Amino acid sequence: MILHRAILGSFERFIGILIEENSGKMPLWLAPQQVAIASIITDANTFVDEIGRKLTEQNIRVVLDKRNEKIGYKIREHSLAKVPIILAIGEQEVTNRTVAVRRLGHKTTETLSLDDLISSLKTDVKAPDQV
Amino acid sequence: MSQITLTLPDGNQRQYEAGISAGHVAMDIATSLGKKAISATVNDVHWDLQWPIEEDCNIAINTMKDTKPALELVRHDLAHIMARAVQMIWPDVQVTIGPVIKDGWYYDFDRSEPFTPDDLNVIEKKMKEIINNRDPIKTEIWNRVQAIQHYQNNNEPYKVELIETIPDNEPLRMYWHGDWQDLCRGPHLQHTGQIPADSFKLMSIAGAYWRGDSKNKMLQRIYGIAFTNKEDLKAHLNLLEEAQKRDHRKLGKEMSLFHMQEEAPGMVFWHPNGWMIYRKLQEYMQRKLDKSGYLEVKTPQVVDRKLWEASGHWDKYQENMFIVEVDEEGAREKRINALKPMNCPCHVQIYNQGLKSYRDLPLRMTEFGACHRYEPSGAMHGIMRVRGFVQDDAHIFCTETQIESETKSFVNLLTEVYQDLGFHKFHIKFSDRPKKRAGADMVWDKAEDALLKATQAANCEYELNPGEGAFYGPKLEFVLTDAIGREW
Repeated sequence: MILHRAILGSFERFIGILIEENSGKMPLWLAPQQVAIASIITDANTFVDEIGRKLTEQNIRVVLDKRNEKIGYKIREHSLAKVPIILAIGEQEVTNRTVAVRRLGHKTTETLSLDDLISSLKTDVKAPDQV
Repeated sequence: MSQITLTLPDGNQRQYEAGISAGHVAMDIATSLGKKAISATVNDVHWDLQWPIEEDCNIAINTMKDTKPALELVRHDLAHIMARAVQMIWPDVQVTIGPVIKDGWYYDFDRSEPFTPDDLNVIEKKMKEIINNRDPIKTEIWNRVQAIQHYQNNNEPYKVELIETIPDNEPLRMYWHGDWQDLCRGPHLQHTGQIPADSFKLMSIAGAYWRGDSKNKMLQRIYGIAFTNKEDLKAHLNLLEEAQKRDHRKLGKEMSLFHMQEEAPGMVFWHPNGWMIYRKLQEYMQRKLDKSGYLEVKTPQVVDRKLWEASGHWDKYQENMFIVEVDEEGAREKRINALKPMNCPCHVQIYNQGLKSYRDLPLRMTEFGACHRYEPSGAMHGIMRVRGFVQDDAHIFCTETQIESETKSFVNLLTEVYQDLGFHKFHIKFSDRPKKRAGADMVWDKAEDALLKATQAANCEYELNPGEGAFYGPKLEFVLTDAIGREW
């Protein structure tokens, strides 16, 4: 006897369903880019690079945005791209070695130390079978 | 005249003269029922109230409260009314066909000028006038020669062509909606006033070839949706709006996930963002399968027709296969290959190479198998319905006694995966033998019986889905319900 089975069916179709189910806001473990790190001022660029490096070391997928644009513009753009977590880095963040965390769909930001962010992300980005 | 006995749904029986119409029966049961009746169901056949009943039968009278027949009639009558409205506004337009489809209907017209979105409002207004007129709907059987003559005189060549495709022994049924007539099998409502005028909407205009054949003339198709009350229409319009907001084709562009282009219809160009989702999903599936005792393989894309002949695909599935001819060195004839449309025959090749004994069973062989199937362009939809795709395919080679436990563990695995991916609601359909199939009926009996027993033993609730199995075997389909209630 042969049982023939598929779970997803096809990847193409199932990813289409996932996109529509989530309105593009993929769960963190599936999101193409998990964290966008945006500078508010040019002086924050070195810290942006450092955060990027540290997150990448943890296999977290990041996009760095050091363009000379307004932070509101950057946040809008990364929100439209449905990046689940956006970090805004300005003078205060550089001085205190903190990050202003904005989650997709939330209006408020939360300030965390870089180390706390990394340790919470390490668990949050895991696939459901690896938690 | 002979007497016939009609059995009502409550078991009551009534005697009538043969040939009585279903409408008269409804009137006879109660005048109020006769007035609000929309159709009858006679021995499971949807029956026009004007049609005569000649033999003993079971009969139920339908009203607007019977949603299934009501929706069918409302949508079908609106198709006729829309065609009538179009010809009232533009008498030169030629009419063709107008079937009921999911949520509504369409009608194909031949008109030299293109319809515009503004035209839809004009047509809709005219349709509402026709509904408010409460025009009677009448049916007649016509003589074939006269019918062709009638359509020739009225410059309706498409109708003449349609009549020519109807077998000689079939009567030509005609329907009148007021003074407008169309060739139609029916059934229909009693009068146009039975349609709720506030529960339909014309949606869009598209091009469509006459009889779906690109060699024929391009017609203009108008789509409409209809329900039995305005609340349902409103709910459906909201759903469409919600679906449009989350349309994967729109989001795919906004998020730069993928694109498709004319040079490779139905094939996906994955961009880095989309491919990351794909990779993460595949890695997840690989971990799940590894833990569930599956062995992953990889098999060829291009395979000689001989294998497809042996598997039955060449005979039963050829129209969906991409054929690749190759001029092989020194060969007198081209070698005919096909891109694999399914992985099954290739997995069987691996199985045949390596099976030692029954003790090796069950053998769970899995492949992320790239398949190609030719689908008509009209059937394609973004990345959801494509011509090139990768299946998370597996074949479990097992003994008859293992079917039950394998089915059980498969359902468990599937439930875990769906839940991990955020889908908590799904139902199961059991699809049995289709008309076009390979293998003897006895083998089908055995296969259907085995799968059904395993499904029951796994405590799965299921509904029957007759005739929808694959050509090579019966199947269980797992239907997901998404966040806005759509089923996939």
